[in-house]
Amino acid sequence: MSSPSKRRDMDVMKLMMSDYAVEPINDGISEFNVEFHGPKESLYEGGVWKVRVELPDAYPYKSPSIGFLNKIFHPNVDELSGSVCLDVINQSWSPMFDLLNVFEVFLPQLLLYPNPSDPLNGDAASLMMKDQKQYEQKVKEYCERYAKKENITGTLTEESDEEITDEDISDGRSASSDDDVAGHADP
Amino acid sequence: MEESSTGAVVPAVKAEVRPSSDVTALESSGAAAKETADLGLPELDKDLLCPICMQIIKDAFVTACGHSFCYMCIITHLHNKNDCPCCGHYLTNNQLFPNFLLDKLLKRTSACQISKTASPVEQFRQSLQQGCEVSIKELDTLLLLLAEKKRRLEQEEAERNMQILLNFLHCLRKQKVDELNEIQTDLQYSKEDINAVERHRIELYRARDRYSVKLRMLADDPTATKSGHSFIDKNSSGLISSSRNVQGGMGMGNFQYKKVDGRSQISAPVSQRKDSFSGLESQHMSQLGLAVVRKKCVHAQFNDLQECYLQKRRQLANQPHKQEERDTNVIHREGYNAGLADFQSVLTTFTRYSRLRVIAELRHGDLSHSANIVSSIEFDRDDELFATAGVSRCIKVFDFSSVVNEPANIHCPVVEMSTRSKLSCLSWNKYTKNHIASSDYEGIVTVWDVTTQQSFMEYEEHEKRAWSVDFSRTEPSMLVSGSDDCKVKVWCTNQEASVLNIDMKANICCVKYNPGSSIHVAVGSADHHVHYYDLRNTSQPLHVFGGHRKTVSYVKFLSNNELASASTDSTLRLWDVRENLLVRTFRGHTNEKNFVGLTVNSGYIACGSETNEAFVYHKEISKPVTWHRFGSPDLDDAEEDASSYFISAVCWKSDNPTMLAANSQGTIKVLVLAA
Repeated sequence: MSSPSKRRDMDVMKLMMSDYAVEPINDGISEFNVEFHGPKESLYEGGVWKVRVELPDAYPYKSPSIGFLNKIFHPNVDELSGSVCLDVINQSWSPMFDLLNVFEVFLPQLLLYPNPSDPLNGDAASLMMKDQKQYEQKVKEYCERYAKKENITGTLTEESDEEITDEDISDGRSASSDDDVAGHADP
Repeated sequence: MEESSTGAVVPAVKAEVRPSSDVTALESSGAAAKETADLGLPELDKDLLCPICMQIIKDAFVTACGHSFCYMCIITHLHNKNDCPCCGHYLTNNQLFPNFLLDKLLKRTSACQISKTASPVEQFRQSLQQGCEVSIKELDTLLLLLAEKKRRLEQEEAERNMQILLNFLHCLRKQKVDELNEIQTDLQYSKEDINAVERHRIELYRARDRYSVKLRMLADDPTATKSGHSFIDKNSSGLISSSRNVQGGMGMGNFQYKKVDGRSQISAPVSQRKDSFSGLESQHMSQLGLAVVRKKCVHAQFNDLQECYLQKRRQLANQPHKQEERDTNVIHREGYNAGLADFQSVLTTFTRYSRLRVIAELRHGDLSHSANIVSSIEFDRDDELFATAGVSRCIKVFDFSSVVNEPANIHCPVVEMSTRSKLSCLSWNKYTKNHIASSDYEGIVTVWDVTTQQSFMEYEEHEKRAWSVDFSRTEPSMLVSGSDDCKVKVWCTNQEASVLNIDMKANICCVKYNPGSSIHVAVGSADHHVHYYDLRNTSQPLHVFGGHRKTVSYVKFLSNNELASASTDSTLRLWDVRENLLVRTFRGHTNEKNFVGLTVNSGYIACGSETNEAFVYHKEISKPVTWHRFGSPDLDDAEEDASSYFISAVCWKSDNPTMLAANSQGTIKVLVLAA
C-alpha cells in the first residue's frame, strides 16, 4: 500500500463528504466530474458548471487537470475544450493542497481574478483588458445560456438523440438535402 | 523501499505494520474520518501527519523554514519543485535536516496505537510471536478451545448452506407447481371449448341435413329444369354423403370451426364416390385450397394466436363480476364461452385475408420530377374522394371510383391546388365534405375549400415546420396541429388566432383527436412518448405513454379507447387510453428514419416500411397478416437501388379491406385485402 494512492482516495472521500456532487467516471478514482457553482460576488455567480477533474499518477506532487464540461467565458479557460490553463494551476499548486482546496479556494480565486497574461481564451483576455463592461456582459450571457442546472443534468445522449431524430425525419420527408436546394430554386 | 516508475518519482513507502487500520481504511468509505478514528488519535494528532501523504510522519525531516515531512515525501516533492509545500519558501535537498527527536516520539506513538487498537487475538498473536511465556498445560487448554470453536463454526456454516439449498428447492417446487396448475387450467379451457365447438358442429350438420332434405323435395318437383334438377341432385347427394361422414370429418365448410389447437379437420374426402361430380369436386378443391392457406396462416402465427386465446379465456374466467356478460357467458350465441367467441372472431378475421391485391395504380408526379414523396393520403368524409399531398407542393384530389374503374394509366385529379411550401399532412373535415386542412414546412396550417379551390383560413403561428394536423370528428370546427417548435395548437375555423397552445419539451411529430371526444388529444413527440391530453387542463397530460425507443411519428385512434402509435424504432404499439396501459407491440416492418405512414380501422393497422413494402397487422396479433411490395415499374428505376424507396403514406377506406398506399417515388396503389 503506497501512500500516494491512499492520499488520492482520501482526498476524493473528503471531497464527497463535504457536500460536493461527485460523479465518478469509469469506476476509477482518477477521473470524475464535480458540480461547481459560481462563486458569490463574482461575475459567475449563479452559474452551475460540471467540472471534470483528472488526477495524474504523480498526484499530489503534480496538480490535477481541471476542465469545464459546459461552456464558460474566462481568459484562462479554453472555450472549446473547457480546460483550465495548466500553468496557472501549477504555479499555485503544492502537495499540501487537496481537492477541497481546489474547489473552495483555487477555482473561486481564478474566477474572481483571471490571469490575462497567460490566456487560453484570447478573445476573453483581450475583451477584459479593453472593454470591461462588455466583458462582464458576455460572461453573464454565457452563464445564462450554458451554465444552467439543466445543462449539466441528464445524459448527453438524450440531447443528441433528439437532434438526430429530428434531422433524420426531415431528411426522409424531403428526400435529401439536395432536394431541398432544388426545391428552393423553384419559384 | 521500492519505487514505482510512472511519471514523476513517486515514493512507494512500505506500509506500517498496522494491519487492522490499513484494511479497514481501505474497505470503508469515509476513510479519512475512520482512519483517525481507527488510530484512536485525538484532534491534536492531526499535527503528527505529514501534509503530503496525510499519514504519521515517517523518517521525519525538517526544512530550513521549519516544516516537517516524511523523508521520501519531501524528497519526491523537491524533484518537481524547489519550494516548501507549506510556506512556499525556496528549498533544496541541502536544506533538509533529520529530526531525531520527532522521529522517536512518533515511533513511540504509533507503537502505542497498535497495541491500543489491536484486538485481543491480535495482541495475543503478537505477543506469542514475540515469544511470551506459556506453559504446556495452558497451550493444551488453548488448543482444545480452538478446536471446539472451529468445529462449531464449521457446523454453523454447513447448516447455513443447507438452509439456502432447502429454500431454493422449495421455491423451485412451488414455481413448478404453479406452472403445472396454469397449464392444467389452460388444458381444461381447451377441452371445454373443443366440446362446445363439436356440439355446435353437430347442430350445424343437422341444420344442413334438414336443408338438403328440403332441397330434395323441391328437386322431385317435375317443373324443375333438367339441369337444375341434376345440379341440385349432385349438390344434395354431395351434402348427404358429407353428412354421413360427420365422424370422419369432411373438410367442406369446416374451416371456420377449426379446433382451436390448430389441428384442422381437413382431410382428403374420404368417400371417393364414383359419382363425385365435377362441380362438387371443384367446389371441394377451392374450399380445400382456401382451408390449406388459412391453416398455414394459423400455424405461422400459432404462438401469437395461442397467447390471444389464452389471454381471452383467462381474463373472462378471472372476472366473475363482469357486469351482465357473466349471465350470458355460458350460453353464448353458439354455445361458446365469451372468451372463445371473442377468439373465434379474432381467428376468423385474422385468417380471412392472406394477401394484398392491387386493384389500381397511379403515379403522382411527373416522371422527370425527382421530388415526389407523398407525405399524406386521406379519404374524405364519405370515402368518395381522396387527397394527396407531399413535397411537390400540391394538393391533388382524386375520385376514388374513377381511379378504380378506369383502365387509364395516368389518372387525372379532379382538383389540383398549388401550395407555397412542401406539405406534411392532410386532414379532411369530418362534417363539411369539401373542407380539408393541410400543414406545411413553414409551419402554416391552411384550411381549403376544394370546390372553390381556395384557402379560406391560414394559421401562421407555428415558428417552425408543422408536421401534423387533424380535424376533430365530434367538433368539426376544431382542428389541432403539432410542430417542430414543440408546440401543440388548437384552432377554430371561425377564429384567426389559436384557441389553445400547449408548450412541450420536444418536437411534436403527430397529433390526433380522440374520435369520440372533442377534448381529448393524443400527441406523439420526439421525446419517445405519447402524451394524452385533456384540453380543459393542459398544464399536464392525463397520461404519458412510454415504451417507444425513438421518436413517435404517428398516432391514430382505432376506437375511443384504443390508440395506435408508430415510431422510428421499427415498432407499432397499441395502447388502452382508459386503463393507461400498453396492449401490444407490433413488429415486422422496418422504420428507422422516415415517416412511413400509419392508418387504422376498427380491426386492422397498416403502416409503411423502409423496404418499400406496405404492412398490414391485425390489432390482436403482433406479427403482420401480410405485406405488399411496391415493385419498380419503370425500366429506368430498375437499375436504381430499389431499397432506397419507402412507403410514405397509407390510408384505410374506413372499415373496408381497401387501402391506399403511396411511396417516396410518388406511386400510389389501391390495395385490397384478399383471401
